[in-house]
Amino acid sequence: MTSQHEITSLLAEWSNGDRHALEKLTPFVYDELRRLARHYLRRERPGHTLQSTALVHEAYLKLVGQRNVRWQNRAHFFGIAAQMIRRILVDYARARSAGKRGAGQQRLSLDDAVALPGGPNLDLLDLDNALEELARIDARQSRLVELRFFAGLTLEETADVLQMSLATAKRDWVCAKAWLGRELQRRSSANES
Amino acid sequence: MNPDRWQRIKEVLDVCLRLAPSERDEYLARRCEGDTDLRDEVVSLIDAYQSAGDLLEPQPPSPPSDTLLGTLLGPYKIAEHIGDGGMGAVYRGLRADEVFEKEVAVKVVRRGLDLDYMVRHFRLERQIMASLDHPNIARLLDGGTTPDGLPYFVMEFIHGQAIDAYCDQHKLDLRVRLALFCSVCRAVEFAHRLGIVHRDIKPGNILVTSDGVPKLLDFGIAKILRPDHVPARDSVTTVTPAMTPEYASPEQVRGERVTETTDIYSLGVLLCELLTGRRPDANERIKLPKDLANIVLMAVRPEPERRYQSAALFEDDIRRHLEGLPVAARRDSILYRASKFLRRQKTIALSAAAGLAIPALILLGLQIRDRWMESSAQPQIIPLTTMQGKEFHPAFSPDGLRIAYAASGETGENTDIYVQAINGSQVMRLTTNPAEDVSPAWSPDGSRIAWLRMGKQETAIFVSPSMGGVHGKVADLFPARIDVVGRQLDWSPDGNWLATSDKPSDGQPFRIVLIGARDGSKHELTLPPEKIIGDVSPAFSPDGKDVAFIRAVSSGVNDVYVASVAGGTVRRVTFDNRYLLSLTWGPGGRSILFSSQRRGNYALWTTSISGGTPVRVPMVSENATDPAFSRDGRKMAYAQFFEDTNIWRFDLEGREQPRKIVASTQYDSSPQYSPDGKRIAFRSSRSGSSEIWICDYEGRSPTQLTHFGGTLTGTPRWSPDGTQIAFDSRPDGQPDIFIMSANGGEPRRVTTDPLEDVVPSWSRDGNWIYFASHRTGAWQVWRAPAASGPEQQVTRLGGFAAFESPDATFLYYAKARNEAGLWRKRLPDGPEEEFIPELKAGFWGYWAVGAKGIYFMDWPAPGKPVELWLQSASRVRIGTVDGPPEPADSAFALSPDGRHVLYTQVDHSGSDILILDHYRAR
Repeated sequence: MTSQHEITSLLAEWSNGDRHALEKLTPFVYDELRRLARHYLRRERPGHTLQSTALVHEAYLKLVGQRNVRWQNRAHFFGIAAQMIRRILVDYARARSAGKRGAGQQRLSLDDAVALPGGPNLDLLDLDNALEELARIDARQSRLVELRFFAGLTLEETADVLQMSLATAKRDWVCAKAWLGRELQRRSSANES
Repeated sequence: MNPDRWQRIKEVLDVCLRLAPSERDEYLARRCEGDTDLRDEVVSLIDAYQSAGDLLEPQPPSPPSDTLLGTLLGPYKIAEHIGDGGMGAVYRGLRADEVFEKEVAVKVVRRGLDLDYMVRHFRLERQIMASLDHPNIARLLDGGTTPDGLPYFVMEFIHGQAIDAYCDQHKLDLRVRLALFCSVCRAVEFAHRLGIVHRDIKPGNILVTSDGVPKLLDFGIAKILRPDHVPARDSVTTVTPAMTPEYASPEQVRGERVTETTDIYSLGVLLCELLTGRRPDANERIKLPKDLANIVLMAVRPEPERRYQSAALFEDDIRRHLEGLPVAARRDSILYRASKFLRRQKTIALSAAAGLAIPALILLGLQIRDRWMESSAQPQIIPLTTMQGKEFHPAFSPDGLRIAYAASGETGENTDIYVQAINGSQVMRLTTNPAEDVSPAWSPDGSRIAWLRMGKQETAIFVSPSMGGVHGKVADLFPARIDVVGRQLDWSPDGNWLATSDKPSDGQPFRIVLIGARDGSKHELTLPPEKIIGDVSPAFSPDGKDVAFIRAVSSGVNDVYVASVAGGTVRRVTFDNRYLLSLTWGPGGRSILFSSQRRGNYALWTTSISGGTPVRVPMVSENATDPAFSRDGRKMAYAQFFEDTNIWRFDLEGREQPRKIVASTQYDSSPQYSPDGKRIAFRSSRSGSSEIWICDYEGRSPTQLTHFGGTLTGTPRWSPDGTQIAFDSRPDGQPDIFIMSANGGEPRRVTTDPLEDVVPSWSRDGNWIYFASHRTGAWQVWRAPAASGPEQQVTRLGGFAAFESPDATFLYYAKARNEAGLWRKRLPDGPEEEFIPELKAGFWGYWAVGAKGIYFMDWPAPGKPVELWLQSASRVRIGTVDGPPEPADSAFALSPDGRHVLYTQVDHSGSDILILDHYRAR
């Protein structure tokens, strides 16, 4: 197991532009997030919900700790974590919908256990597809939504990770919301019909 | 859609969303001239945005504690989640009772804080806080731990508004705000006089009711969350400061000692905010009339000693301002700094010039100060020791400057005598012997200290110079003292005698003996009736003419007696038949103070020696014992103990780690599974005295079965059909076996012998109840028909705590409470044989017989893990648990399916010595 210190310095190297640091860092973060998610999903009790943002937060505390970490590193950590938690959650959602089509058995499903900020009506797979589509026309905006939605970053933190001004981040966020709102509506009516 | 197109749409969309709806159409028409696609696109996106609401917006994490909703914490039903604070979640709870429904606020401490420490100190603090009965302070009602082990506090529910919001919403003028603030000051002053500092005063902790009454919340809780002495622990858990930085004093932020003036600082910040809407800022002038600004500035001075020294003085200055009188607060000017400097120079100059005269002056000054302090002094409680482990048996030196006491050390492995100055932390260790050294007593001239040494081989009185030096033995005493607790030694005022408890041989009761301090000669002072435990805990009256002592008829059936030293009369002083721990004479020799469970938990009581009803000693909280006075009667030292004993579950199939199943901050022990394995009966003191409780197999939904109220009630045992429970109790001072329905109702007394009948168990056919009786003068197993009929003696060679094997072929039993070994005899009346010689002495309650054999616990030594064994044809070690066990009780149970055992463990225990200064005799 890698020490907190090592992870902290990898984060620092990465935010200073060392791409290899990211490669070394990723597996640790991914493993930790998966472990946490599994842990939460397994010991689930009725009525107990887990928030993806809380999960990322816990992974951060676990891997990096709270002390002696520059704020920028924290934001960068959440930056990678956002991508990963999206992947983990979408995998779970896929497995779940596969399970539904299959034997119809009651599985411990993702949305039973994980409360997403969008509420119960949000279809995670639709959102994932919509975000991919958004990435094709505006990659930065898609990334911004990922950071906000999956890692719970504030607009300020998001602006820092994406190296844009706060005003731009706000503008991008509003437009992305409009675009995704319309896209999700279309997809959900397509699903129903 | 291609990226370029999207960029263009974005630009237009962005502008539109920032325009008022009325201006959009015009802008769109202008901007999208000739490009209706663009226009339609933007309009559809505006629609989508407006219906998106908070879609995709990140939300703050909600507390994961929603699982508490609808559940019961103690008697409180958790009804609604009403907020989150730094300390954890706050719920509205309802106490559902037969009589009325009461609304309470329940605060559940969040994970991550130092929970162990909190739970340990919670009880001690709760007792102190329970004394905070003031109309402007929300009462702390209760507390405990949730099934997940998180501590919670139950407080009076206040319907109100934070004081700042209240002032603003009602647009209160300055005078009304000041009057409201004065009420807050009075409440703070009240608490300070009881020695309780709030530590987190801020608007959110002061609610104003619709009647305009301010109520302070969370008094004293901050102390539990962040005590002065945070023990050094591994750094995994960081203690989160239970303070709010904006209102915290500089010393608090630095983590230094917190005193009443810390609250004064926070009050100053609060006052400034209530009057100006902002907190004081060093770089900014406070926009208030000069006097008020000075008052605020005085309260928030960085040096605690230069603030108002009490909330009363703070309030007084505000009143003076309201009445147009000059205020005490002055601007902190250059003049002040200069005068302070001058004073210092002057003192140095004076000392140089006056030489020897100075000490005399200082002495005079000190005396005047002392006298002044005395006349205005309020009783207050000061901790003397705060070590880990147990400190007990305090005794004042004759000059009142030092206290000798016994202390177990951090791990509790070696109890020795220590001597400590009362106004300092200097500690001298008088003894280091591996035996247990307890009950120190000073010679009247203060030159020597005698104590009781209880070793493996011998028990004896030793003496040494009080400053340390050669130890000498005064006299040997009878060694087995299992039933003797509390201080057992006192030195007569004339210096000639040491009083203690002793007996000539086993099978006889303890008696009070006087031992010649010089020659070790023994003289029996009392001769108690046979077959009882006997007379213990002697204390000389201040004039040396009488000795007060405790007569113990059996465990939990004790009273105070007085014998005259000249011989002859023995008088009974109390008539309670309850547990008593120790006693001392009140100043003046007209009263006796003792620690008793006469009403609920142990507390200090005082009774006149001429009779009358005992009265609770004020200010001293529960679980106090070993009272001792300074010779002038102004100071009382006592030991304040805490013990958290819980029931744990061990999975014999290794599927889970040992887990706390039945837990409260009080004593929980004596578990037994119902025959269907679905319920657990146990003994708990959570209602304030020891009673029988029943919960489900996971420790949930505890309900109280017996309601004897005060007397020791314990050892519940289910009948084989699961409908009845047998147990022992002492409602009238006579320990007997009772039976009652497992669903409640009236208990029925099964045995009636005046001597002890305890620790029942059922025969497998349900027709008989085995029990241990002391009626012959020695412990033997007896049995009584569950229906009715004569009792029969089962063992002849000693027996205690019997159980039949599941096939009813053997009866297994221990010999006595303090004897090693587990024995068995074939039923109905075969010869007895020793089955597990290694069962430790005192562990009569740590075994259970099942289909596979006998499970039992062994504890090689203090500090070592407790071992769980299975004895059948061979002996197998099943595993270990943390311990320490609670060997004074029946504390072990096997589940009917053979998959689990329950055992009792002391999770936290200790005691500290406190001093009540300026004690006032009634």
